[in-house]
Amino acid sequence: MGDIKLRVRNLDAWYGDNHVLKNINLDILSRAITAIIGPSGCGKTTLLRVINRLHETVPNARVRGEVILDGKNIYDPDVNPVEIRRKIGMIFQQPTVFPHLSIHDNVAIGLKLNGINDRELLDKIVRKSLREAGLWSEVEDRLWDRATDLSGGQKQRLAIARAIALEPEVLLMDEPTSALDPGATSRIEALMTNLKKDYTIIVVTHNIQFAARTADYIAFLFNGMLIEYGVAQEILERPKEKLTERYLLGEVDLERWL
Amino acid sequence: MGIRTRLMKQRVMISLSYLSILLTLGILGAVIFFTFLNGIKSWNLAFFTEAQKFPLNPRQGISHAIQGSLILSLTASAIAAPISILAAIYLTEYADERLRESFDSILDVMASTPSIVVGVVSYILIVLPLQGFSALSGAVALAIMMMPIMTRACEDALMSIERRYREAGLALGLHKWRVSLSIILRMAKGGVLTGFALAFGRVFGETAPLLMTALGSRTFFSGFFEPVSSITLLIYEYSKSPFEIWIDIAWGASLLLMLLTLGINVSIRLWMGKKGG
Repeated sequence: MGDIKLRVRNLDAWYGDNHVLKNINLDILSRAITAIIGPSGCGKTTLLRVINRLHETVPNARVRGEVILDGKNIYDPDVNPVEIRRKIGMIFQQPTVFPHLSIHDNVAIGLKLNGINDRELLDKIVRKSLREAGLWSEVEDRLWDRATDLSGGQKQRLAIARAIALEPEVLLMDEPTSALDPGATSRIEALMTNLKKDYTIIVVTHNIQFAARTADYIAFLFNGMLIEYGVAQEILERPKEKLTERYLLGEVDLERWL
Repeated sequence: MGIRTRLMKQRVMISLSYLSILLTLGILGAVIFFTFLNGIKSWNLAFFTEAQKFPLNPRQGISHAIQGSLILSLTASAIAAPISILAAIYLTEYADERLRESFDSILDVMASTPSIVVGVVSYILIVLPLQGFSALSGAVALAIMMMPIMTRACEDALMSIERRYREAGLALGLHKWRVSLSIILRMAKGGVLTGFALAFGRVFGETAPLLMTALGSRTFFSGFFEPVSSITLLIYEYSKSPFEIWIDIAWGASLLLMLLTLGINVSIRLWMGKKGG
């Protein structure tokens, strides 16, 4: 058991009048994979976006409560959200690479725009990040080609390389494999297991098999509320809550509950 | 009504439609044909290399007007482009939707302002305070005409970039203005440049805003605070003159103007077509 990297305290979030997260309390452990599972619309993506303060960039979105990263509440007024997002990387559901940039520059852009211009240093970090993301051998001879020619799985690994180039402390992943085929999915899963040695990973998924294969801890969210949270194996094999059990068995009909 | 009368009516209406198309295309064809026929006569080396001379001198040309037109349109673009880009970034990335929509309507109205009105406004704003006609005032008048076209084109180009790219930029710990300028604007480059080319083509053939600002000149460009010629001003002046040589040159200049604006528009279309738009 590692240390606690991130504490979520009494967290509420809204989109306009829509109360999407209700009093969430959650401790995320360092250098482990925590999966947030639950049916569509349960608020799991919002929870992820609250953690790197991306939620508030949407018009009419609101947050109340605390997210404490290494002892500091990131919602304190003296905290710059831009700094927070540099420490907390994010991977999106749809592999998002910048189509106007080369493979190399897609990885380097975060550093470049943050003021790092040393070519040698950039090349070194790009190479290291691509290796860590398991993409190096596939792109080493075409680093200056456009990134749009890559396959979906390669694009997602490029997005991971772009995020880890900034050496974040936490990686947020929003259904990172739901747009990928099984081969690409298993590569990402292996990569995640590898990455958790260095990073705290929080992954949102509605795929229980995916969570079972990758996660150390699982949080089950339903209708904006945290229903159950604990060690992955226990949640999957012996859930304490009836609702968790029914969700895992595929018995929960979201429409009827809302 | 019998089937026969209805068929008859249909034939008459279809014939009328064809006639209308023929008339429209015919008039356009006649304009191009006569401009070409009359204009090509005065095209020789001197036409492109010499400036204005004494009206009876056969060795004269419009090079000073070509230079003036380019300087006016390019200066106008240099004034209008950065303002339009920043305005479009504000409207798409920062303003709320209601504000953007009201600005869009204002810009659309501005884009259809009669160009002579833009000329009068520039005269009052720049020519009077500077106490003289000038290339600068001409460029500003053209810039005023370009801005709404450019801003709307930039807006459309920026809006076509999906939100996920903005979020991907923000997630890298970049400031919003950084994401807008260094990522989103660059991704939208194609659309932005197309909009600039359209605006350029539009003002390149303008006369009215220049009559009261750049005024026209017999010589080459001699500074932004001096009057300057343009192809359109030269056509306007020469075609009213009693001298045969100048009237021929006016035809030649018209042909050049027509081909240039046609060229700009066709290039934009071809380029946009190639991009699959």
